[in-house]
Parts: sequence; structure tokens; C-alpha cells
Amino acid sequence: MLELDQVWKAYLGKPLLRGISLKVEVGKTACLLGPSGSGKSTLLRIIAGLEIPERGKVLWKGQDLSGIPVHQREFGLMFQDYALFPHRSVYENVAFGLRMQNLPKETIRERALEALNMVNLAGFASRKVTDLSGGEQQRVALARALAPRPRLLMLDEPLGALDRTLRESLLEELRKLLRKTGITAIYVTHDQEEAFFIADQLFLLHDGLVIQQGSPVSLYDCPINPWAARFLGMSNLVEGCVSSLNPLKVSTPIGELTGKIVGKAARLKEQVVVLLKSDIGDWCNRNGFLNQIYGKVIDVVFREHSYRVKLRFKNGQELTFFTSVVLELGQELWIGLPPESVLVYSAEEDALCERSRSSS
Amino acid sequence: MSKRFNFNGAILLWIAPIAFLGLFFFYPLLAVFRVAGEIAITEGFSVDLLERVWKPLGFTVYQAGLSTLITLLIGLPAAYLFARYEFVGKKALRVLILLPFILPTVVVAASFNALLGPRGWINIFLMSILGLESPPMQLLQSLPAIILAHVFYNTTIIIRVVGSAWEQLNPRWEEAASVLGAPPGRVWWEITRPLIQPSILAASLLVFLFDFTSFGVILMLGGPGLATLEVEIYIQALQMLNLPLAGLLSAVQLICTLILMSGYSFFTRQSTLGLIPRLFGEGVRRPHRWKEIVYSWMIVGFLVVLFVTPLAALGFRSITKLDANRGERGEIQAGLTLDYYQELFINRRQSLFYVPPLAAVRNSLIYAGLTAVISLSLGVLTAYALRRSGKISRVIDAFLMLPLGTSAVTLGLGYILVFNRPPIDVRTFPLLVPVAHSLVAFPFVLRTVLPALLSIPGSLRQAAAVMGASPLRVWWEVDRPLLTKAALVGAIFSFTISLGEFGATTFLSRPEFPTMPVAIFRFLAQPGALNYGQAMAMATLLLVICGVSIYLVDKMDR
Repeated sequence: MLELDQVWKAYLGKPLLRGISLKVEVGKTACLLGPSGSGKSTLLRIIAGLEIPERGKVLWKGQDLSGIPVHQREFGLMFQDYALFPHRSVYENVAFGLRMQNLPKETIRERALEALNMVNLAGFASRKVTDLSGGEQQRVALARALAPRPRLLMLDEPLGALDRTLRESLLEELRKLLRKTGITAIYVTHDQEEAFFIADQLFLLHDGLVIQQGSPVSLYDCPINPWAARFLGMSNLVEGCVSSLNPLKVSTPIGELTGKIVGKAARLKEQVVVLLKSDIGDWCNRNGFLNQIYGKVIDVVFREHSYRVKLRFKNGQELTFFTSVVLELGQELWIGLPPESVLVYSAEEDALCERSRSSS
Repeated sequence: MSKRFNFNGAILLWIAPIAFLGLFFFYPLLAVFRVAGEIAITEGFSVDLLERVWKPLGFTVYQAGLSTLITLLIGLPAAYLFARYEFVGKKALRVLILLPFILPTVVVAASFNALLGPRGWINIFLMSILGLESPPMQLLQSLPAIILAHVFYNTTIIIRVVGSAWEQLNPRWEEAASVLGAPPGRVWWEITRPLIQPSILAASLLVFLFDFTSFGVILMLGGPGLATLEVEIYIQALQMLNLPLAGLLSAVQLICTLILMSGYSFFTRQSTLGLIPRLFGEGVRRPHRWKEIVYSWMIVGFLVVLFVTPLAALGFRSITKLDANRGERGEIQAGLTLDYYQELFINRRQSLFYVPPLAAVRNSLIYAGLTAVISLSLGVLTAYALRRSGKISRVIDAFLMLPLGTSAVTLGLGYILVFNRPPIDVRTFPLLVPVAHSLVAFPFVLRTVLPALLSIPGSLRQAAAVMGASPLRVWWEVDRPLLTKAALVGAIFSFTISLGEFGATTFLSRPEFPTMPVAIFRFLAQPGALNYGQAMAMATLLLVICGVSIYLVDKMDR
């Protein structure tokens, strides 16, 4: 089990990681999710031993790794740009880690070919890495990282350099491979779809801290603050003022909403930010839902299994929802939302997030 | 525009460069080969003749090999420091190590003389603390002195060539290897070494080439029994008047340098393969472990000592008067003086020249100015001709680099063989000096101007033409302003090369038209404190002029 305990690191004099603590379960895929520049890659480099944290510890099964040099950690790291050795063939790249373990020749050969097989590059052994396409290079890098059977596999934005269709298919493969090998893995990405797809555990990084962790579902159900909501792609945020505490009601320009508070308890008249979750639902039927709001359809986009509908409200605010019901442009209607789809955050917290975002 | 027009245009443009190179480069060179062939045929390859070629050749290879090895030993750790660490004064040190590039050999020889010579600081120091009357240490006229000067000259090449290859090496290759379990030694051996090897080989070959063709340093710091091919050519041609043997040695030398040059270009092409430029500053860090700190300070200190000491010795020696030099007994009295500089203005009866020494400064400046004009016109014309010549331009281009591989001494010898009667006679035609200098400078000028010319997109000229500019106007409005900087840099380069050129000049300059390097050389060869002091003063002047030139180039390059 990998454990980080209060890891601090500054970059060019500015704090980048400000006390990161996390635990990765054996055999699980943990995902570090955060915007670019949030220090995700640096964190991986610290775990690998390529960088030294200013404070804090990296532990493996309770053992402090600070005295152990990079090459003795038995971790695997797949670099964002793959870092394939340009003067070596595909096979030599994959066999490199095995050779470093001083294994017998036949074992090296067997396991290198096995690793190439695993990434569907069986026939590529003698090719030059400089002649490969981006996707092929990605697979070689993965095979090279997997071949020595590391105790922990780290992947630094492994799909970042590839185009969209390739990404989707490779992500699928990667997910299968991680499940099949049962390897403990840390996957770093800034793309929340990728993260939700591949992670058992998610760690959301912001401002040098893990601001939220848990399963993909738990993160999606309840983002810890408005910043997290926005980062996870939920943009239906409305400002308001607490009008009643039990049940929690907020008066907003689009109407009075009943919801649940996230974080510390709300005070009466407190300025808040309300998140309206836009999940596909039967919300066109206003009956039976506490929250009823009235808007006008201004945009309908067809997506694979639903429509993305943009509604404009009387104060001019525009919100996005998903539905399976066909709506007409210009149509005005009432929609209803259950209280669990309405999350209320303290406005102070949002302001804090905003400030740190603009300063970074 | 038809191809035919281009072709004709190219031919017109080629006339001047081909005529110039033909008359002043290939014709003399062929003469050298002719006399070499004659002696080989008439004497056969007698044991005696072979011996007379083999001995200097052997020594040349030996000293060049040894110099290259030591240069590598010092240059590689320094290259690593520059490639991987950020330290205080890195920028300044980068400029400092460029100094040797521009310094004329005579200045370097004079500097080492000021440090190590019988009148140099080390001997002065020993004499004063030990109370001796004569210099205790014979440091010049030795192989170590030659090697030291070569290290001084060429460490920069290793640092620049290998250092930049090292710097461009993606640091994640090494990191990937260590994550995969490779200990530091293996990372170096399996990843770093093979990837920077071509650049190490290329740099070593270049250093070897420079050590192989080194002339001034060996003539002035070497001594009896320490003659390389170049020095032997000089001795045979100017002292023994054995032109055929000199010609044979030149031919041998030329063949060797051509082989070395092709090897160099082979490795240069290899070293550019597979390197991905990385983000600026990535992989560069400050030394923080005590081992790294000690290492970086040692290298920085060593480089500063290596590069500053000889030049400081020269500068201070040129303004220091030592009474003991005048044969006075007793304690050495040292004092500051400008006597040596003042003496440069005076035309003494017993002077080495028929003119005041300062005339050498004037001659040098005139020659350098002419060289800049000739080589720049030649370079610009050739660049345009090459641009127009299409595919064969690559072949011609390689051909044009030949002057780079031809030693100046060989060129001088060729001139003596060819231009020995009117209308062009070495003895009466002082313009041959700037002509020879232009040939030495020509490859550098072409290398500066051609890339600038090729980087002007054709669409700019077309756009100007479409808007109604005549061809001449197009050149004036588009080409000229875009080429100005490169042309100026090339001109200053050739100016500086001419100022310091020594090899060909020793063959061509007349006593009444000495250049600064020739004057320094003659002063150093004469006895007496005054001559020595004047050598120091003149060398310091030359150092300052070259320094200013390169400062200007550097300023323009930014």
C-alpha cells in the first residue's frame, strides 16, 4: 500500500504541493485528477524518487522510502512523452527494466515478449521506436513499464498526446489491462471523463491539496465545493440567500429552491451558491418535485442517449440540463428538481476558490 | 521565370567567386601538389625522404592526440556542469570561455610566455623569493607548454559541442532508465553515453583537427625537436629554402585534414539524429548536495584560472617594468610603466623594422578592412550563386569549404611558389596578404550569410514584385535590410580573423609592412627586456581590438 504523508514541495519559490496526504489500496487504480499546473506530475515524480519533497514522507507498506534511490524502488513510471530510448529497438526498450534486474536471458526474452503481447504489439519487437505512431509508442511505453512487474505503476497523463478516437480505444484497453494484471496503479490526468472511466479511487487536487477523495460516484454525487463542481463539468451555479434553515431553502433569482447543504451548517440570510445538477431525469414533469422553476428553451443539442437542453430564466441566467424528452426551441416550461439534486455551498468558500483560481 | 534564366543568372554570379578562388586558391594549391609530386618522382620514396615526412607527421599526430585527450578530460566534466547545473556566474563564464575562440595564436603564445617564459610571472616570482639571478624553470619550448595552450584553445569546443548535445538530451530518458531500475553508472553507460557519443566524437575530431593544424602556438611555444608538419613546412620553405620538401609536407597535411574534416561532418550529421529539444530549463538545477557543490566550484575555479591567468599575465606584464631585466644585480624592483607602449611609437635605428612598430597596427587595420570587404563581397556573391544553383549547390558548397581544411601555411607556400614574378609578386605586391586572409575568412563569412539569405522566404520578394517593385528595388527593399545583420557579423568576423592571422602572413608580409602578429612574433624572438615588453604591449593591444570586435558581434547577434 502506498501512502503519502503531508508532502510539501515548492516550485520556483511558490508552494506547489501544500501537504498532500493520501493512501492507495493494493490492487486498485487511484486517479489523481486536477487542472494542469496543479502539481500532479510533480507528485508522481516524488513518489518515483525523481524529486525530493521539502517536507513529508512517501511510505510503501509502512516503510519510509526517503532513503531509497529511484532505481531501487521497484516502481514503474510511464512518462507523458513516453521517453522511449531513441537508440534502442522496441524490444530493447521493453527489456531494459528486466535486464536491470539481472534476470537470465531467456526469462528476459519471455517476459519482454509477453509484455509486448499484452499491449498487442507482438510483431513490433525489432522495430525502431522512432518509426512508431503515437499510439504505438504509447503501448511500447506501457509494455516497458509493465514488463519488470513493478509494485506500483504510475501513469502520467498517458493519453494526453493522442487524438480523441485513439484515446477512447486505448483507455478501454488500459482499463482492461489494469484490471487483468491487478497491479496497483496511480493514474494522473486532468480529464474528468478519463478519471471517472478508469479510477477505483479518485483524488481531486486543487491548490496543492487533495480537496476531495472517494469513488467516482461519490465525487460526482457531491462535489465538495463549487470549484470542484465546475472542474467536474457541472456549471449550473446560481447565487442565492438562505431563507429558511429546516428544511433548507434558498431564495434565488430563478425561484426558491430546497436543497441540502454541503460543508458546514448554513446560517440564515447567508449568501450561498447553489448547484443544480443536470442529470438526465424526468424533470419535465413538475409534479412531485419540491423545486419548480420556469424557463425557456433556447438550445437543444442531440447527444447519443439524450438531449442537452439550455434553458434561459427570467433573470437572463442560462442553465443546462439533460433529458430524453424532445423539446421545442422557444418553448417555455416548468421543470422540477428533487432536493438531492440541489446542493448549497457557502458563498465565502466559492469566493476563496475564485480568488485562488485567478491568482494561479 | 524560366529555368534558363536562373541558370544564366547563376553563371553570371559564379564568375567572380570562381575566378577569385581559382587564381588565389586552387592555382597555388595545385602548385604545391606539383612540387610535391616532382620531389616524389625525382627522389622516389627514399628512406631519407620518408623519414623527413614521417618524423614531423608522427609528432603532429602525437601532440594532437595527447592535447585532444587532455582537452577531453577537462572539457567533459565542464560540459556536464554547463548542461545540467544552474550556478552563479554561468552567463559570465559562458562569455569567458568564448574568449579563446577569437584570440590570435600570437596573443595566446605571448600570454603563455608572460606566464611561463623566462621573463614570465612564475619565473619572476621564483627568482624573487629564492633570490636567484636567472630564471629557474624552463617551461617554454616544451611539449607541456604546447599542450597547455591547446587545452586553453579547445576546451571551449568540447564544452560548447558536447554541452549543448547534453543539454538537449531529454532528461526523461535518464529518469525512465533509473525508474526501470538502472543505477546511475548504468544510466550513464546505457543511455547518456550512447546518445551523446556522436557529439563527443565530433568535438574530439574538431579539436584534433585544430591541434593537428596548429602553427603559431607550436612555432612560438615549442622548440627544437618539437616541429609539427606546419612548423616543418615553415622551416623548410623559409629557412632551408627547400620548397619541394615543404610542398610534399603540405600535400600530406592537406590529405590528413581532409580525412579529419569528412570524419567530423559525418559525426556531426549523426549527432543531430534523434535528439528532441526539451523545454527551456528542464533538467537544469542548482547544485545542492555537497558533492555537487564541490564539483561545480572546482570546475568553475579551474576554468577561470585556465582562461583568465594567461591573459591577465599578459596584460599586467605589458605594464610592469622589472629592473632586474636590465641586468642590474640585487633585488628585483617592480613598478608600473607605460614605457613599452610609448616605445611602440618610436622608430629606433636598431629597430626590427624600417618603420615604427605602431605602423604594424595601421597595417593590420588596413589589411583587416580590405579582408572584410573582399571576403564579404565574395561571400555574398557566392551565397546568391548557391541559392540559384539548385541541386548541385550542395556539391559546390562542400567544395567551397575546402579553404577551411587548407592550412594557412600551405596557402602561403602556394603563393610563394606561384606569385614570384610580375605582375603579382609576393615581394612587391602587399595586397596578397588581405587576399590570403580573405580566403581563410571566406568559409566563415559564407556560413554566416548563406543561412540568412536562405531564410528569406521567396514569397516576400514575390509580394514586393507584385506590388510593383523592380528586381533591383526588390533587392534593395527586401534582401538588403534582411541581410544587413548577417553581413555585418560576417564582416567583423573576417576583420578579426585577418587581425590575428599568422600562418599565411609569415610567408607573405614584407619587413616594411609588418602586421601586429608578425611584429609580436619578431619582438618575442629578439633578446632584451625592451623587445619583450613591446611584444607584451602589442599583444595586449591586439587582444583588446579582438575583444572589442567580438563584443560587437555578440551584441548584434542578440
